[in-house]
Amino acid sequence: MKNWKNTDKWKAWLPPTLAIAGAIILWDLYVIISGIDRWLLPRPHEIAIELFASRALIAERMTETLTATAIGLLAAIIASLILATWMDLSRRVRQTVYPLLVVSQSIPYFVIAPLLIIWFGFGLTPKVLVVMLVCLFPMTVNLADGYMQVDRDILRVLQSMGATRWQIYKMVKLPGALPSFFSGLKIAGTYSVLGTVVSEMLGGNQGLGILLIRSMKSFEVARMFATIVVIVALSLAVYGMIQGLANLIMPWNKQKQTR
Amino acid sequence: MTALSDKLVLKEISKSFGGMTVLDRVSLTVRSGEFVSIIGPSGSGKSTLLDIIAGLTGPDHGQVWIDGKETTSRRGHAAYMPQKDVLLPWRTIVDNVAIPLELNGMSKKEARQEAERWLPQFGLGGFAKHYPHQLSGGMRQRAAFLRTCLCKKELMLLDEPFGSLDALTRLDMQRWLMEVWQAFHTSVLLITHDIEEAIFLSDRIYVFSPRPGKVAGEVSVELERPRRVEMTASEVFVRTKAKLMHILQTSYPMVSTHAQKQEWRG
Repeated sequence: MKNWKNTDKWKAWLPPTLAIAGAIILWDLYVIISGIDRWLLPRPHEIAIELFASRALIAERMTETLTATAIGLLAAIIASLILATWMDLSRRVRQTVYPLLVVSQSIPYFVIAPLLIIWFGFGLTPKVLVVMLVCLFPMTVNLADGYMQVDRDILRVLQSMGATRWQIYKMVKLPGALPSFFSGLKIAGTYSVLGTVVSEMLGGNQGLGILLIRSMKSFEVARMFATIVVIVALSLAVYGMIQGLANLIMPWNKQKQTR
Repeated sequence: MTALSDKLVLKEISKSFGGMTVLDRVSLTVRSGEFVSIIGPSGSGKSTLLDIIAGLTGPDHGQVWIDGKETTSRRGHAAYMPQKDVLLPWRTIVDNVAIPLELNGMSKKEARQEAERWLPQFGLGGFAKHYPHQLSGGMRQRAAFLRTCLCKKELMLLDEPFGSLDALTRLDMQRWLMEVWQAFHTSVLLITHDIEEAIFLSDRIYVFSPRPGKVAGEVSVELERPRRVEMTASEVFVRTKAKLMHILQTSYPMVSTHAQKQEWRG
């Protein structure tokens, strides 16, 4: 039984690993064959060497980016819980807030970010606000829709038992909406790292975004690519953490999927 | 005024949705400890009637009386079980069954302990920690029924509880429901499509006519208790069935016998 599970996991990992390895080999071959200048496109192993050589600097910048992302994501989670629940309780609030959320998502945040820096200074605040702006929409909309999709018959049975509104949220609506909340959180979490990096690029003095800008401007392409690798890895890590959290909080959902 | 032995009395209940009358002056009674069924085709407003008794919707006219008190539009006076088992997928069986106890203010731990005591009697011993999707349809329905029992109301409203089960499982569940009902001595109002199910289980049967739903007739079942499967071939059983068929047929004056059968199945 256990053995079977392990081979199954291995099988699932094989295709993406092969695909990534294949892409790296093709890239390397292209650089060798085309003879393209190294400062335009370095070879993959040069990026790995750079990543190792400047690991201290990258780790420091990464911590700064990660802090801002985590605070922003947490704030967005709390805000979306409050907002979506409020929207679910009142039809009028829903009608008022929904268009505002869509507007918030269509604001080009890379234009807003420099303004936020002028208003709030170079600290953590503008970065956190950008992350919130990016994350609030997918999370709130998913949670609000999740509330709406909860089985009406379940609600009726609990109402017939005399359950209060609060009891219905606690027992039915919140757990019932969790799967769609988490799919919103996965989208938001993946965007959040990029949101922080972009706001750093546009006028921060910290984080991976600054590292990116500085290496671009000094033509240290290997370092730039190394930073990109770190950003991708961070986004994947955030995604993986959210998935892990989802499995932890919703064991029933995982069992259903693996069946 | 209602008699002392009356558990549930409906007085002239009418309800319409968007100009269409769904229920037309429905009056009926369920006495204490009595098992009463309502049969009728789709569109006779049976589920709406249960909603009104459970207090989930208010009637346009008429009154609901439970235990000699008016409970129109008030919840929590009857235990209600819809056709789907509607167990919460994120709760284990024992935690699903414990919901009414928790709602009554019991601590989660106490509620779980009491629920766990009941599981074996409902054929769910050893499945306390399973999630609903890991159980068969019949077992889920039994869990939903146990949950309904633990509401500890003397009146149970069952809306086609076996409608989604296969024929063999259904037969099993009917026999089992009989046993449980005899042990609990509650009053039951059951909605069903199945004439034989209604006869096998009930003391009395109300026949509803469709669009708008109203009482077309009432038949007492003169079979003794406890009921046994052999009785379904008895003369009384067949005679009762013929009576019910007759009422159903006369409440459809405009359609042919063939069309009736079609609609009955649908």
